[in-house]
Amino acid sequence: MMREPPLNYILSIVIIASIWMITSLGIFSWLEENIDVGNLPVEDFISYIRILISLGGLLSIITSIIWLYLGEKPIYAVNIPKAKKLWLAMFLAQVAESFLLTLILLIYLVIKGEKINFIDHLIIYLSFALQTFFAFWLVTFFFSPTNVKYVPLFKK
Amino acid sequence: MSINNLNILNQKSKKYLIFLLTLILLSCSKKFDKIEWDYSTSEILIPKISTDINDSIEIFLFIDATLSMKGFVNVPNSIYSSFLEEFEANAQTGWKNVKLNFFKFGTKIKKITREQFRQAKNPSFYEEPGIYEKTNIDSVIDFISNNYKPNHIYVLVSDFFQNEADINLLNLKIKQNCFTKNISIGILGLKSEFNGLVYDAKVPPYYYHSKTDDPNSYRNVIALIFSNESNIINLIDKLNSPYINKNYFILIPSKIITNFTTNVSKPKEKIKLSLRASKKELNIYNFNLRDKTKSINLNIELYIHTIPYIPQINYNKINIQCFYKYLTKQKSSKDSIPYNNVYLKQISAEQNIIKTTIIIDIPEENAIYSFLIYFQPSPIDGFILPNWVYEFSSDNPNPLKDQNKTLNFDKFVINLVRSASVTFNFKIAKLYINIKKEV
Amino acid sequence: MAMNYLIGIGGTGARVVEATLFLSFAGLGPDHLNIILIDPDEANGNLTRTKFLIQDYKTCKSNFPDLPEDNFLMKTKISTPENFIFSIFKEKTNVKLSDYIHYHILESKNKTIADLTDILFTEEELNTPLNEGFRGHPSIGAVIMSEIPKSEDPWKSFFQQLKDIRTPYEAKIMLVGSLFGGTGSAGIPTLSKILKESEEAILQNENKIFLGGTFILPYFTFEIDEETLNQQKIKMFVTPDNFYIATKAALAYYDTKNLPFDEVYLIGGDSPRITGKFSPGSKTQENLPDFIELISALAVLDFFAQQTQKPQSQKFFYAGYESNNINWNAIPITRNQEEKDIKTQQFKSKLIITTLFSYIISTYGSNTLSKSENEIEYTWYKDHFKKDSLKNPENITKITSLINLSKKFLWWLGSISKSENKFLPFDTSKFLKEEPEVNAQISLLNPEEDPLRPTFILRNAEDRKNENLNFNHLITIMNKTKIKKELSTSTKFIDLFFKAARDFSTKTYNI
Repeated sequence: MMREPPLNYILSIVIIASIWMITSLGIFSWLEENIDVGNLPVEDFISYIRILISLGGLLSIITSIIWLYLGEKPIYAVNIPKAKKLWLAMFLAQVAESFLLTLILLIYLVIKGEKINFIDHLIIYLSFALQTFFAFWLVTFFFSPTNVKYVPLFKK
Repeated sequence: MSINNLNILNQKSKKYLIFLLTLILLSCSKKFDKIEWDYSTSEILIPKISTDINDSIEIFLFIDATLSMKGFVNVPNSIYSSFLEEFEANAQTGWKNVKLNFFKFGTKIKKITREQFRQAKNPSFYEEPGIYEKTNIDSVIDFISNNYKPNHIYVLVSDFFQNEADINLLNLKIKQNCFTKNISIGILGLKSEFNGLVYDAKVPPYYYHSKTDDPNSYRNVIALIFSNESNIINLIDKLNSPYINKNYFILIPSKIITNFTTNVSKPKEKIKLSLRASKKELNIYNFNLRDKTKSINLNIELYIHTIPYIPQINYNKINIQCFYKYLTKQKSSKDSIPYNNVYLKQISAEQNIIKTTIIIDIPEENAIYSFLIYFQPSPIDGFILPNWVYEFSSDNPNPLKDQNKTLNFDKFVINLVRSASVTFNFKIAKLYINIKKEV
Repeated sequence: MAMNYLIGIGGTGARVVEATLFLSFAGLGPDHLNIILIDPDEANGNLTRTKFLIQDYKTCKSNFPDLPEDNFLMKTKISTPENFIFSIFKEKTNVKLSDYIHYHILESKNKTIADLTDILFTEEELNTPLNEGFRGHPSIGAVIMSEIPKSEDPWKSFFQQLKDIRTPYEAKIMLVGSLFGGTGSAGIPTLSKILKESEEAILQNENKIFLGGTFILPYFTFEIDEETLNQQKIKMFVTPDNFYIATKAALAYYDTKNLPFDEVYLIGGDSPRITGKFSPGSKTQENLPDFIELISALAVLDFFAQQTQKPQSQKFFYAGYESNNINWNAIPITRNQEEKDIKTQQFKSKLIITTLFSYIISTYGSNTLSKSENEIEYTWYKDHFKKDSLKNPENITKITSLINLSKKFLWWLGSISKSENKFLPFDTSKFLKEEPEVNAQISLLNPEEDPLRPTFILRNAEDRKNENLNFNHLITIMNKTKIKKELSTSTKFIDLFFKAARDFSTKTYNI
């Protein structure tokens, strides 16, 4: 039942939103108290990365829903290799997105003339990763339609 | 899908939606804990200069009617005579309703009529017994002090020869009777043709005749204007005669700043100090400190807008005055406490931008510390007087040298500025530095 | 428990038994059915085909004993004596009538009987080898089959069971055969009396046997090649020209003899189908299944579906077709008019589901089994079958047995659906590459090669509910199908395909 619409759509949104809570409100709130961004007010910086991660979350919701919608199509019942290609493309797009968000952040810091240390970069990147490709993988692992249930990585 | 299954699906969907909404509602961003101050800038900024010409004003014109002034009217149509003659007309343009009161003073103050005032261009005006003997400016100051109202302007015209003792007394008088009542002073320097005796110098009276075509040979006439800054500036702006050089005007107001803005940044150094959201418009700057360091450096930029005509601020002689409050989990300070461990370092100024670095010593205990830092010119040498004051002045005018200059004029003005600094406690800017120390 | 016996006599009888088996495969048969085949021509192609079918069916039934209640495949338990073919002659070769009646002894010891024999039978009839059948001479068959060996199977088992019956008319026996050949038309009347009048059948004043007969009238024809006949020196044989005369003679004879059938079904059609070339018998005598055999099998099933009770009178049922287009409603599915719609719907539904099941398990199922574990990525496979659990030889053997049976079913359905057969609800071009031939394996279209091709195995638009469903939809259904975990691995595989076929058919066809 968890793999059927609309429940799987709603669960996916809930999961991704929950991850957003963890990253945006949890990790980033911790980061707010512990990061140094030079002369850029920390709140402004955190607001900016919250916008980026919200964007990431939104895109992973959209991608996940597209997967859940397409995965329901009968064509993928038989043509599993095609489904695998599709899933992998979506997953890699999310990976690329995580790097893109980090790049945008880097550009933002360069424009502001500030920088942060490597560990903070890593924490932020891991948060982006959590919100993008990990979130996508998680919801597709548990809520993919029956036809493509075993397509996500490591699903056996 | 059967109807039963659909119902179960709908119920589960609703549960998850409610969970999601709850999570969202429960989230809220952490706010920087606050220590409150009175954030108004009224102690620094001058109230807005009123240009309302509907106002009514009463001007009191005091003319020095001692013998030393006679020489100004011995030359027909001298600048001095013209100034007096045109003063009335010029003053009328500044406000809708102008009431002029005329006085002659010397040994004593005497109220005169308008017709009598018009005789001020005649030498006989300066020969009235009981008046011509002594220039008693103190009495005028007393009069001002006793009668001052915000819609009054008191103008005192004199050649202003004062010995050092008199200057100190006069300064004290002005400080006590005018500055303490928030009365500002404007000093206008004029040069007028002169042909007569110069009295009250350190030497016996001597004869001086200025050259007609050489304004540098003209003798100084000083007009002191007592009122609020707005009225003084308005009056000066309306005195548009060609012989009036507004560069020879200096204003000593109760407040010197119309507007200021600040910017605080931290230098690039390895210290766990992070800037938090700040309210620049209130000059509030928040930091988190997670370092055991005993002091922090901060780069300050001040953008100062002064009111016109004041002496130039000596930016190399800026002092800071600091107060602080603190807040820990167990206790807090109710009132602000003076804090001396804030130092200025490396100050520079360009036009109206002051750049400096301050060092703040941070107490050891983890707490929220809020520092209120005032920037103010040094009371002693915080201002640079314009050159004309020195050009007008001499410590010993005599027939051989500085014949046409005013005795101790610079001392008078310097002391006046210093008195004003002390009395008015000039400030040019302030800011609030909040530091949350968590080590 | 009721004793159900189906006795197929001759080649036509064997083909009706074949049709009955396929209908039983499709879940339309009774709970239990015993089968005996009677044919002197043991090598007869039709007989051989049916014999192997019985063995295949029983093997499959025993391979999947735990099929769930809601899976109707092979619902009928088929039982047979160890030797279920009564080939009449002990000797397998060159048995002649003269040998059987010991004519030579008669000549010397009882001339009168010998002379009577000469009157009744021609020399050819006396001396033609009979192990390829009675060559369309029922008179020969009647003599040969007048005695049956009760001490040997299949009759030993039959009479043993009959002895154990304690209720009148509880033993339902159906004799089925043609009236226009030799074995059938001889065996039907002869056996009916032997069985009904046997001492094992008598219970006080009643009879334990409720006897039914399905008599098939001529429904096929064949080409005579006289040159071949001359070359092979075949002298005694039946020709299509004799069919109607023989049938008429047989019916007239039965009418005079007051045969002890309680119920008789007469099945016939108007224009016989050309089956192929003439064969006197043996393995060359093999015909493609015909839809008349399907109708006859439905008559058999109708007989066994009735409650056992004392017959009030003899009942006669006949079925023929009026138009060339035999649709579902034209099928004579039951004797009870009020049940016709329900039974027609059941028949249609089970036949369609079984057809679809047979098709997908023979293609997609078979292909899946031949793939390596890593190549199989379907959800249904991963959900239900642990790694390599399906691939052990025992499971493969069991499933393959059912696949083979399914292929036979499709071959049979394809044969009866050939256009000249007139049974046309199925569009076999949707699953068969070419029309079935005798002795040829069927070739099936692979649905994986064109999964978007609509799965319309039914010809008429009114039979189709949803025009948009295709093989992909079927596999989607399969992925979502739930089956019981406690089933054996091989049964799970079968049940999964069955349920997918059933659910898909429900969505796609008007069943």
